[in-house]
Amino acid sequence: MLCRRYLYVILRSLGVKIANEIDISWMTGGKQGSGIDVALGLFSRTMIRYGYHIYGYREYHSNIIGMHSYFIVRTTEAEKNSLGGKVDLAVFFDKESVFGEKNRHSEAIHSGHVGDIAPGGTLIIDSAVDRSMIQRSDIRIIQIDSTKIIYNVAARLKKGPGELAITRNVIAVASSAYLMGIDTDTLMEMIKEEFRGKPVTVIQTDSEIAKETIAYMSSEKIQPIMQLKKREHKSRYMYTEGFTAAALGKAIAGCKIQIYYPITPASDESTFIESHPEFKMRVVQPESELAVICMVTGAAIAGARAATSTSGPGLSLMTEAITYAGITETPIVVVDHQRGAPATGQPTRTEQGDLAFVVSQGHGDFGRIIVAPGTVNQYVEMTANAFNYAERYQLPVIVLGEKAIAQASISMDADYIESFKGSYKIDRGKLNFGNVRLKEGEDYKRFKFTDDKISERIIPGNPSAVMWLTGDEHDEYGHPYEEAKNRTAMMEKRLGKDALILRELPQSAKYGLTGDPSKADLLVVSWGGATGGIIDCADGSISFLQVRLILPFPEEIKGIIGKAKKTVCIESNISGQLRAHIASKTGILIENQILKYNGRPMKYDELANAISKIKNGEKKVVLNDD
Amino acid sequence: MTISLKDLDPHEMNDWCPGCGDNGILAALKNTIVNLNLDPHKMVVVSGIGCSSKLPNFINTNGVHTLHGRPIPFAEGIKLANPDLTVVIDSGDGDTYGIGMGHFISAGRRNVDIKLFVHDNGVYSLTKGQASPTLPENRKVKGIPEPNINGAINPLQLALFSGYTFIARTTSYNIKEQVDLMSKAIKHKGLALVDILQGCPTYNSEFTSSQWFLQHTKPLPQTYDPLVKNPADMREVKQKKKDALSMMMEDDDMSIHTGVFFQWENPDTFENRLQNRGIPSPLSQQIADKDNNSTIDLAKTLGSLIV
Repeated sequence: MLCRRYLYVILRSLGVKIANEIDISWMTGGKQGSGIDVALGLFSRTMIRYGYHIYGYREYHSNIIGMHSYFIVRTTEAEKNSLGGKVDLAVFFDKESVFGEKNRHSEAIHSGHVGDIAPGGTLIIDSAVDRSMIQRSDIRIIQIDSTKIIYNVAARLKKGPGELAITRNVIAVASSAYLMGIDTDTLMEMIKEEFRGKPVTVIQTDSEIAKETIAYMSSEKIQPIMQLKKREHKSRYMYTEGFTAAALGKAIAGCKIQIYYPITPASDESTFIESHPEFKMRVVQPESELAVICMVTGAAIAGARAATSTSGPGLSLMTEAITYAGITETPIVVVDHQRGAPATGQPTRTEQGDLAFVVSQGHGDFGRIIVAPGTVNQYVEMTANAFNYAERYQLPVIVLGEKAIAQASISMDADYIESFKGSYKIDRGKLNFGNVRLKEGEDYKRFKFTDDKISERIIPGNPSAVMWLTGDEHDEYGHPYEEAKNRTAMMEKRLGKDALILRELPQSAKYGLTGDPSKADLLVVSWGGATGGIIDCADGSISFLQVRLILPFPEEIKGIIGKAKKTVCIESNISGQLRAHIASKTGILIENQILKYNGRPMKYDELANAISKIKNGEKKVVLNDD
Repeated sequence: MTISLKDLDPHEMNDWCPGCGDNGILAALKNTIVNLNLDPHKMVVVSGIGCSSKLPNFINTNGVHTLHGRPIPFAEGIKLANPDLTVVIDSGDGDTYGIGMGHFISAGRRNVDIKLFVHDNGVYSLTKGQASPTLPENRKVKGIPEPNINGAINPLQLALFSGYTFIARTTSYNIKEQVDLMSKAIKHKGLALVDILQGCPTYNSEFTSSQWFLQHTKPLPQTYDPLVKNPADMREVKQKKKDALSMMMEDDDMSIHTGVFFQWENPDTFENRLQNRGIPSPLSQQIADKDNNSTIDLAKTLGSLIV
């Protein structure tokens, strides 16, 4: 078994697709509010219990009830970081999911999912949907009478069928499980666990629905499409989403206060933290994003590890206070789960549109660190590390996340979290809770000039000294001071930390590099949410540079790009923000681009295709199909 | 240890105009600290932007001079992190009732144990005398070319409606009354407002002189009792609020009461609410052990996520 897996790794790295390796994409969808979220969780957990890895993603409208949303879950033997463009199995009980919907102007809101199914794939629809309308002869269509299933169970449990309408989510999962050859016991076990904490009648109803679905499928003599083999995970795997990972990073770092204002897609992180009181993290939702960032900064001034989580519009509102944290050298951590911008943009869609904004956010110059995780695991580590950077270098740290990661769901190894936590050291830098050592007649200076530009930091309540902060330019004590030489020195103190940061941070914090950039046909440069698709489609012919530290900008990047035979910058925005940022820092304009800016994440197969086009001489490829 | 006025001597010389009411407020704050014998190390004076907000730089306690309109959320953040600190806000009427009004009202929903000492002189002095939200309509002051075209807000009424649990008013010339009210506000457990009518000899000399205040302000009647006797009795709380509102509505631009309008020792502070949830204050928690390892126990969380 191990040998086979090892062989696969080698073959895959050579770009060989292994025919019998499990890689199944499953899709479901429907009207928001019709219980499809439950289907996502139930299906994903069933696959994890069956010993597989999952990578899932949700697409939905900024709406609570009625609009169309859908989920894709990719089930694989090895861990994956992205979706492909087509699915193997899709299940929908409403006809809008199949055929699409139009608005009052007869324009498509979405065009349905018939086209998303790979040739040879399977589509499960309700028997009430007219299958003759589906113009695909290359897929298998299975019709299920979901109403009959519901009526049968309702009669047996003496309930009204209307009460059971919501259980179509379970019919979707049970029928898919049947087709994939999942054993009934596992499915029943997963239903019990999924609805744990709900009234017993809910578990009973959903179990009956699942059994009835399977009985229906077999009485209709529907043949399974495969017999998925049950495997054993080597360790304990969790069903995790990106926002959960950011929250775990904060918990590990000892963050004890999270202030937030509701915003899609960031609020999930804060509600997750609040629903886990064992973190002992205070979660407060004040009146505005302005209040949020000021409370975070206040809590940090008082000595707490404090953070917020927001998205582009919220971050825009927080700008002035971030400059305050900059000039007062206050350690705060802000996670920006980017979404489609500008203004309210596309609240529920993804984009890497905030980079140019955050690198110059606010009036004036000040020291700051911006990091950009690219995978769910990196969300954990880079968020946790952000707190160490904030306190060691005494400045605001922005974690530039993205909806593509925040609302991706994966199977994550619980031991990975434990082992990361075990290796993580809390570094509070020059924070001194005890007595300040002062010479006779000397007073404590919060902004004392030092060789490394970092001053000893105390917090209110220090037994030996008091401290002052001001948003004005200040002297070493922290009192407003406008004298010219002092101004020069203070500006150089705050900006001068960059050299120290770049000297101290390890390579893995600055960038990730696979392959040999000087030997590969193509050097792919990217960041953030585009990373997952690139990892999944990379083969031996490309070298991949993931820029993780956006500011201060690592000098090594210039050397790496300079070595490459050919380069392409891949990112999810229209203007090529990383490319422009690299050009401004290194003087090198990466010659080729792959861009996507329709609000949807990059798929590994479209990336593979685009990369081969670049290799073949195209200068710019725009991926905007879906 | 006994705190003396000398301990609070400024590090910096203040640069307020001669005769500025801020001097009276600063003197009162220092005397309040001495009066209550507060440890300056455990005290934080938070301010916004404007003449008044320079105050933290002129007193030897911890001082956080923040952004225009934002001292309230900064102060709330400080208090949420470390409830052992005494957190006082000194900022102006423009800062608190203008650009910061959203925070002023919303703070009432939380009843965080912070104290607002608002320097209320009707003008934005540091930008040369524009009208603030408390300048009455049609009043002409030096810095504005035409009489004020905006109406004034009533901060005491807003505080009452918003949920403040201690509401008082005084003037910057009356040190004794200020010390009395500031002391009561600090001893009060909960969100307190002391609106301090303040002299601005430069931009609003006519309506904020000591003479003007002598003629136009008077203490609340001795018979007026602002204190809720039984904090758990919501009927009494309602009645006291009605009494306070009646008293506030007796006032107008030319006749103003000073003293405590409303005081409710409501045990439901924000700190209390968080403690009831079992979430201790951040500063009371050890986040790292002696080897700098994270002390968080993730077993329960991971257990809930493991499939």
